Amino acid sequence: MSRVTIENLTKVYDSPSGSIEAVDDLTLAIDDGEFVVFVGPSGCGKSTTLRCIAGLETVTDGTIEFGAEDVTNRKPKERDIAMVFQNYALYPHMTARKNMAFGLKMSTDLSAGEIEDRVEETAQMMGIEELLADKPKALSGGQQQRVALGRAIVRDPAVFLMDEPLSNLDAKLRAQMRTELQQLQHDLDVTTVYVTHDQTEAMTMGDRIVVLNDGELQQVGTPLECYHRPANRFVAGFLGSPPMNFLPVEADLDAGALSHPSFSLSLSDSIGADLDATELVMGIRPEHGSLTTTPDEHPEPERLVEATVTVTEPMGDVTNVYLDIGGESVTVTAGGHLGLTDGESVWLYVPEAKLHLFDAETGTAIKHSDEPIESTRVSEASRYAETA
Amino acid sequence: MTRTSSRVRSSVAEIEIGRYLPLYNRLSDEQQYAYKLLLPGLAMMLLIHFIPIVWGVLISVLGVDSGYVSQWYEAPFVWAENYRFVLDPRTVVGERFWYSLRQTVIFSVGTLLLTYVLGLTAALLLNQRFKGRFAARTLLLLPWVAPSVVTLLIWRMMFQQQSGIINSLLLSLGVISEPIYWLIGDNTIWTLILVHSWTQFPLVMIMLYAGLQSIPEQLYEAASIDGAGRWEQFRYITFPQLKPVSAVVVLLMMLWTMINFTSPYILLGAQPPQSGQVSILYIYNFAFSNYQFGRGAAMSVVLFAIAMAMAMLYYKYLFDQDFTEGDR
Amino acid sequence: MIPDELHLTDSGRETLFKLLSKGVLGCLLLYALFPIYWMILSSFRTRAEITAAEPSLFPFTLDDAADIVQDPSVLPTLLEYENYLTMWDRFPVFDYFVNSLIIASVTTVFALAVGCLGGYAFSRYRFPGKIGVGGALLGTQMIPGILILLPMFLLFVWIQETLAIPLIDTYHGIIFVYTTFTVPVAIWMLRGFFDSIPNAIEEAARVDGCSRFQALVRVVLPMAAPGIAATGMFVFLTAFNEVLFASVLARGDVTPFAIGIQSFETQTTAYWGEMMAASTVATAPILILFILFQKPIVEGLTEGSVKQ
Repeated sequence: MSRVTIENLTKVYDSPSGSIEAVDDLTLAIDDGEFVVFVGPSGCGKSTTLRCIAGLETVTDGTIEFGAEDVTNRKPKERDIAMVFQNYALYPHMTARKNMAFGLKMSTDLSAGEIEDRVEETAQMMGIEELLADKPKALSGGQQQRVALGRAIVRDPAVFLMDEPLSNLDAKLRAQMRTELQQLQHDLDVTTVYVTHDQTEAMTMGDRIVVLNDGELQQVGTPLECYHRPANRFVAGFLGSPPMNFLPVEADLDAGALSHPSFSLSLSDSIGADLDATELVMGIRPEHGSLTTTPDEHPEPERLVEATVTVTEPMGDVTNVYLDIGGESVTVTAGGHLGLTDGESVWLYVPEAKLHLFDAETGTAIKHSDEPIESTRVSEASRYAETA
Repeated sequence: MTRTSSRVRSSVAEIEIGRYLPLYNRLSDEQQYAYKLLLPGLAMMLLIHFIPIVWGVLISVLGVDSGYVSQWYEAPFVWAENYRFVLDPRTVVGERFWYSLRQTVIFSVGTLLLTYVLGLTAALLLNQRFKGRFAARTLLLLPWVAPSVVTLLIWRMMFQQQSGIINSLLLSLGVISEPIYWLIGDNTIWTLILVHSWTQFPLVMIMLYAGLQSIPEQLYEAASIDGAGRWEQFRYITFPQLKPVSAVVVLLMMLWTMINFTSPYILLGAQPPQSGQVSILYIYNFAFSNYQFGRGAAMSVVLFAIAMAMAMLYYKYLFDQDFTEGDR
Repeated sequence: MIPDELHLTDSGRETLFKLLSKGVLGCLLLYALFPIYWMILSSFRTRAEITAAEPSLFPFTLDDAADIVQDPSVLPTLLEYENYLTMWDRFPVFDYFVNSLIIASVTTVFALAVGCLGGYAFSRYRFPGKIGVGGALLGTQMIPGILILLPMFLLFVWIQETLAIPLIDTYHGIIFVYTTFTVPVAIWMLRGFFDSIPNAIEEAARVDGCSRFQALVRVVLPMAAPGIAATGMFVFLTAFNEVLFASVLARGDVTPFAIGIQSFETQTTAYWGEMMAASTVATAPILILFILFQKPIVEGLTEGSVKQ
């Protein structure tokens, strides 16, 4: 168990067609026992960062420390880590038992008997005692996944590294393993770095998530922080499904309003005062919009925006309504079944408190929604406040 | 177990190449490791391929004959005299060498055509679904798998003029009225092509078969919906799709046949007729019967130059195709 | 809509095509297998039977065959296995076999050891000069052997006379030559097999505490075993079949089978029966091994030239 500190990590790949900066000056501290999820689109540098932590890639610049020890130039075997790979990477010529024992045999001085005991113990914990005699080929995807996890756990490493470990499972099993993995990590209390492109995994599993794009760090924070207080337009757009709607607007500071060719929204003074840019992007989470067909009865008719329904997608519990506002598409998730028909005119209402505003040029967030972000695990959340 | 492998590991890791080659230190850790792994293979190739070739070229400009076999370095320097001699059609040797080159071309082209036709036919047949397909594939591969020294001798036995089964069969079928000399006289080159093709067509077959297997089934389905019959499917889908594989097959068969020694050497026995003396066999007999190493080397270089010119084409093709794939 | 008559002709054509396919396949199989059949058949025949003007195409007469069907125990009495007994005395076949076995096996072991290291480096790493080295590897396959044999012969003679290290007509001389000749192919074939092993598995091994070399030896090589076997078989066959270098550098006590077998045909007499018996003994294990392990062999051979 240890704290992982990454400072100014840079990884450049040289290729005949030029060099590619896979990770650019990344600085990050991961607490002892913390579960951190790296998330971002493919090619964002999340896997490269993980592989640098593992020692599978040589670092171009910067340092990686485990606890107080600098491990930047150490070989993987000298780092006391265990890793779970996307395709499990089980040794096909060894039984599940040998797969699990291999790491202990190579990296510790334990006797064969002790290794055997630890493998048995871990297998019991994972519920895979029956599979120990089988070779990977004879196991199902889910079983292989468990063996791969067991192989990492039995090592009792300082740091767990997981590279999209659930992405090869079917949807149902993935959901089940998600909870199970969280539980396991909580029980073992081992520092864990988890890489995924799946935002559901990012939102549900991590103590904190690290959002990366183009090799650069976008935001570090608890899942709710990143969701409701995105640092920039990229994070706002990446997390959430359906994704946040973006509408380019101009801030008319004199009139205290946001204007768009097809509508204008007045702003309260407190917000207007903070604006220093005029070119903005307004962000609306689909679940924060509400629709009405009777604008006259609405308490705040001056804040309604007229729109045309393009398509409705009833999902059962909610309905995704796709709107056209002055040629731009906006999605709203409304509860229940609305009975709207395509082409119908509706009015969209978004409370000012839920609006997000971003600088159009830099993408930096200017205003967030006021959703609470403190999770019920208040004590833990406050612990991260200092590192965040 | 662990102890053994770690000892091997350290012996590999501790070769200090950097001390002797300063450039080596500029390579990344991984690149150095790659070179260490390649080192034994590269060293052997340098010793047995590169040095002898350079040496061979050197000998080709020296007058090395029977008097200089153990003191080749004392042989006189004769400039291009050896080349002039072996390429001069007015000398007996020159005339025969040119003839052998001609026979080599016939041998290569003939073998290529025959193996391609046989190989493609076999591959197309195997690409259909039928019972026993796997067994048929296995059996058709046997001529290539069986040791060629053995199979060539079988053919030699079968092609005997007096007692061979081939003549006996042809006679009883009435195709010929008198036993034919297969291994003596001007026909020999055709016999050689027939037999060499027998040993090589399975290779062509399996390469084309792999090419056929990679053509997506949907292409055929789409074509048959478009109204293409069997012949049109072959003409407009199969054959064009096989082009990349075919190009490789063509160059490989040409080259390998050009430099093949085993087939003519074994099939034609101790006294090969002139017609069957392809260049490599002619050079061999010439060089070792008279210990004419200088002139033999000159002929070898000529043969090598022709092969190399063709190999260049092959490289270009292969590298353009896929060589850079699979790197990480 | 397709008229009914056309349907008929279509299915008729289909049947005809199938028949034609079967016929052509049959001819090809006959062409491919007849010599092997003839070898086995001739090995069980006397000289008189072999040199008969009209030799029988079948091992038994119809009457004999009927007898065998009725009572299989008569089979040995009808077989002429003289050749299998006399060949050992008439020719040093046993020595030929042993020499070939020694030369080809040792070559295989060395070529595989060197080839595994090189093939692995080729499959996994990018390094300056990779394309050049790759080209050189393939280039070695284009060199006419005679161009190397002439200087090599002089070199061997020279080393033997000045350094007093015997190389001509020795096991180590010919094994060294064969190893070098087969290493490029071995590297090329093995590279293909290593390519098909996912990188993640050896990364897992390295995280599990292996050094790079240990990961290669303990995880990658066992996984590549079928490919290594296929490559080994190819190298073995190449060494077994080689005659150009052997005819000059491996005579006398180390004469291999490929050279020795030719002595069954002398200026005056050809001992076809014995030759075919010895050939059958040499061929049978190779064909059986191939039939058992053909899948990786076939895949490995097509890998280098036809990459999908």
